[in-house]
Amino acid sequence: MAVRDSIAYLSAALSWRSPAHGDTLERERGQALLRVSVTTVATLSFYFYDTLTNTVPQVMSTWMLGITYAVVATLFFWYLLHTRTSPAWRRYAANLADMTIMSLGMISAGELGMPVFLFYLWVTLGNGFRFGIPALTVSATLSIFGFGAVVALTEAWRNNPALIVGVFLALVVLPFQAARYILQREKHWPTASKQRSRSNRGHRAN
Amino acid sequence: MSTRDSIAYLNAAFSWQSPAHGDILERERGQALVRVALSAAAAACYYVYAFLTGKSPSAIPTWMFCLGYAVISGAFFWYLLHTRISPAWRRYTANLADITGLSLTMIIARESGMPVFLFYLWITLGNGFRFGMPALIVSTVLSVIGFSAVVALTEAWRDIPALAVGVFLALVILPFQTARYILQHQRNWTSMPKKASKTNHTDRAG
Repeated sequence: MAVRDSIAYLSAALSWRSPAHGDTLERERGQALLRVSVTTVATLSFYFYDTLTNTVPQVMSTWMLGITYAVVATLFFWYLLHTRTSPAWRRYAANLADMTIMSLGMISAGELGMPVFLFYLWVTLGNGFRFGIPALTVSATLSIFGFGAVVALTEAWRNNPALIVGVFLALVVLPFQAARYILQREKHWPTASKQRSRSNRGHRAN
Repeated sequence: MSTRDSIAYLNAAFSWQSPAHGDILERERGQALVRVALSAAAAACYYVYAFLTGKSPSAIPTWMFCLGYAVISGAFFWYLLHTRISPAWRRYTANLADITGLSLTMIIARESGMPVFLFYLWITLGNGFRFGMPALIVSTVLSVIGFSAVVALTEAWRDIPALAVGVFLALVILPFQTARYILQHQRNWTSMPKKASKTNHTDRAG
């Protein structure tokens, strides 16, 4: 199938930073590079919006916050390229930083920051796919707290209670769905491994 | 870890309808039962909403539409319990019916239908986890088309263009992220016998 081949080609081209590729450190590096790219793209989008609409920030523009985080994320990526371990506390700290900056960005951007809610899900599913169930659970919890703060402090969200319900449900239901899949895969993986080794031994016996 | 244990316990309790459990027919049955439960829950929620507010946003009450879909889903589930095969065309048709039903619900319910957008993602990721890449791709395309129709026909969504953009991005990015994870797993899975035989050869040589 052509679409399948195209996705397989894209996936192969980007495999070095794939969520299920390599060891934990490689995955952390992949995530760090994705963080730099996404933050840069988001920052540019907010910058162009501010420039085109002549928006004058009250305290700090969202793009200023974004550019600061992009610089920090780049330094972090550079650091990861020169380290050899991937301790869990560092991955959780990075997750906390992602959620905090995202929530601050959404609060400072107001209505314009509403599309950013998708990053809560992106970050959470990405953490689950890369680092497993504990990372998924922590990230889902952080995203609920982060979005709670955004709702409490942003009028644009408070004016749309129906949407708040939808996003909160998404932040709970989709990670749960992914968790079930990841767990099922983890459970089947060793069994399948054993079955295949047994079948190989069977071939040898014949 | 207790969180992990709790998820594992829940997972075991619902394993009979898990996305990665059993053969393809069992997964289709599991999906069909989730469909019945969700459409019945949606019908109940919209009935309570209509009862409490005394409002019906359109000629057909949303709860009645959802109830109709729940009845059809129940009949479909009963049929699946008595069949022995799971042809692809039937799964795609069910997917089309889900997305069409969801989009119609959102159009009929107007503002109160906004939280339901999360079901596009739930259906799409669920199809990917259960039936693999082609199902994920088809469901993603159907979701984008369905949500476009909702935005075109619902004033509540057109009033918040920023959020509509966020949902569109989520409908594309999150399935793509999941697709990469599924592909990587499939690749690891297919490369496993080679690795295993290589190990066996090494063992034998040793």
